Amino acid sequence: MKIMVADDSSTMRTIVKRHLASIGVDDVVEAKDGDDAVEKFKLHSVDLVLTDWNMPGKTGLEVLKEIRKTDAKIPVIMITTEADKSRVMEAVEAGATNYLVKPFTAEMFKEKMEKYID
Amino acid sequence: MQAEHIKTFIEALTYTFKTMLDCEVRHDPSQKNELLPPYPISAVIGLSGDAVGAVVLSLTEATALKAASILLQEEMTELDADAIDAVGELTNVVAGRAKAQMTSHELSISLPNVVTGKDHSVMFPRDVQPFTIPCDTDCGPLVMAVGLTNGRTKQNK
Repeated sequence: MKIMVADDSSTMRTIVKRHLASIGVDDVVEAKDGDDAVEKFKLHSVDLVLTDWNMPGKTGLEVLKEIRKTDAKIPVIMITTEADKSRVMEAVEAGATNYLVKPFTAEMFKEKMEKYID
Repeated sequence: MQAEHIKTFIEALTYTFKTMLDCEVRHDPSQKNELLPPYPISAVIGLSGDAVGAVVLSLTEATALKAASILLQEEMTELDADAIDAVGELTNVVAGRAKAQMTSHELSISLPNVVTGKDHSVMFPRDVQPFTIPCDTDCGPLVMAVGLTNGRTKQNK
């Protein structure tokens, strides 16, 4: 399984990769901002996308909308501090599959991800 | 700045440090550290929208390296780009959680900026009086400074 992780924080990408490795996912494509995420989505055949919301360039919401133009099915999970109801609704309406609010523990991450990992 | 907002930021700091670092935060609300920033590393997040201001985490180098080491799961011995990013992300999460709890205000938060150096200064917007909260944590000491104008709320727009 190949997963793309989009976050402008190298720390957060490291943390997410670590959590993914602990649940058996080692094939990770990293994107350092929204524009990078859109480009890498086109280049790599990923099975799932994890994206932050607030990033330089395209936001995570814009990344989600770009992905949904060509792929209505791929799971896209927002990993973000944006936790208010209106933001969650905005993401869901744009096609987000699920939502994980920062901060999260390894256990919270695993619980959220387990249904998507084969 | 209202007392409830200060409590919100303290809760955000405490929860973030516990969740991401497994680190307890102890603060004494009666202590007010007037010197800002007291330590050589400042992570600054701007706040805008219905209120304007900023939140700053001021840390010692040791506190920053300890926090970065826990986040990155490797021993960080110098304040390199990875350690700086870790401090910035920690502050981003604190600000984001506080923002999410302040449901009476529509706020945006900036990307984090981290400033280092012994004699740097952090300036708040002109009409913002920051409230400084010295803390002792399992990672070391830090000071959180928060300042917000009392802007419009969703109710009186």
